Amino acid sequence: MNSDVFNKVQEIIVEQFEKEAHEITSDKLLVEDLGLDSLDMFDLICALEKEYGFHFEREMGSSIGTVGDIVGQLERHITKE
Amino acid sequence: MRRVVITGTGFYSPIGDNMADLRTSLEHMKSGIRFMDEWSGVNGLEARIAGVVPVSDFSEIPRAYRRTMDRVAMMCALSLKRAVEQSGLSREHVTAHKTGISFGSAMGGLETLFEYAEDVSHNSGFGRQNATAFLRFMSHTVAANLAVMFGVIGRNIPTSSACTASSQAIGAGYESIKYGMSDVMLVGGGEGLHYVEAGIFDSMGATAIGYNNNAQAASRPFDIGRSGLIVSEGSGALVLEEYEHAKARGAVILGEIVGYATGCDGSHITLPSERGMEQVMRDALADAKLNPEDIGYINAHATATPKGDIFESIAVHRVFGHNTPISSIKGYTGHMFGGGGAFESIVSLMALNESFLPANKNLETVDPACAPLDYIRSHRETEIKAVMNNNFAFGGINTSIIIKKI
Repeated sequence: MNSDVFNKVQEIIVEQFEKEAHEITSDKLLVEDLGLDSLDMFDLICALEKEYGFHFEREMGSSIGTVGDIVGQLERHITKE
Repeated sequence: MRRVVITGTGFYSPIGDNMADLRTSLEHMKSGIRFMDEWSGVNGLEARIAGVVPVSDFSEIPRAYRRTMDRVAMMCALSLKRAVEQSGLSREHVTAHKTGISFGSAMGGLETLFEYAEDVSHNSGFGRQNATAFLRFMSHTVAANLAVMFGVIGRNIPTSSACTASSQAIGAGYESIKYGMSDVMLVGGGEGLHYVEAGIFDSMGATAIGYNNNAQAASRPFDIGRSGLIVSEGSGALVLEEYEHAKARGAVILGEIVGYATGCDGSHITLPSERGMEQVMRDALADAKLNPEDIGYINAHATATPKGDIFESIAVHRVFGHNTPISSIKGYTGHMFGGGGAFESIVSLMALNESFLPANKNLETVDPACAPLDYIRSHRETEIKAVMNNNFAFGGINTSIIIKKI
């Protein structure tokens, strides 16, 4: 797992959702463990799109369960580029 | 008939967010209006002064609620929190089926709306917009967000009639309880400051000009030197409760709303009508079953616009003659728009309970075009039994609220 990408995702979640950094590990479920709801998920994707300059397809969003899933999606995008 | 009492209040204003600071500001004739350095980059504004609430930290509101709130909803939320705390209502009471809410603002979340519109127009279109933006700027953002935060499941009546938004909210709450639909109503409203409000009223020639270097003297209700209103911000919240409900739980009762009326002029979109103002005051007195001489103090709407103050004074004179003490507190606060009605009702309640009638700030020479009234020149310590709070809005929408000692 790319630690730069993970660190950025962690930073965004900490800042946007007022979480503690130690809570954000790759195996954490965004909804069940971190308490995000559907509005939060849209806002998280929006923040990541602004940071990385690409567009998450809606179906991609539905496949995201954990912090690690997001990092994986971003890594695949970075590799393609 | 069911009686409606007030058991809690809370507010943010340019002259204080608690009763002690508010009283001090009014006693010392201190205005909360200042020059807006923040607007230096805005082109074409005549009036560059405003009434500002000096609070920016709203982290007391949990993020889950704050994420969908603009400044206006956050000020209202914390005002209501204080009002509920003062009332002593339990969580069980607030979330009961017959507890409802009515809150309003003139503009919704203007700050968010402008950021959103600019971003959509000039930058990213709709591709990268937050999901929460609309929930922060929609016209009923205050009532919707507060209902969620406080867990209200009863009636929800959002109001959006500009300067009467929160006085109509009080009226909606009063009528809901009086006619048996609710036992408790959480009511009020607010406005968040934005330069567009100053620009809008500039464009209509309604803002005070010539006072950018003398903010304390800018807002001058009834004075011959007035030239218009000063935009401002703030919020007010009240807990209204059915009398027996409040008594049964041993609540401290701050006052009783005995009369309310709302009506409209049906004539001009901006020009007020003394006929409509007179009618709404007479209707409120009839609802309260009181005579004009029973009212010991009138909290006027008077925004310091050239025509509005004249029409209002004429309407008051027709109903009350010239002996009832009257003042507008907009000389201290500027015009809080959607927050004005609720905040001014709280000031009226203070007048009732503290026997303190605030003066008209900056009233040096009464405009001879205004009717002869007992304009309060310096504050008075006078015991009174009932007060009337009037508010008037664009569209010729009028409200009058009468509060009595219990």
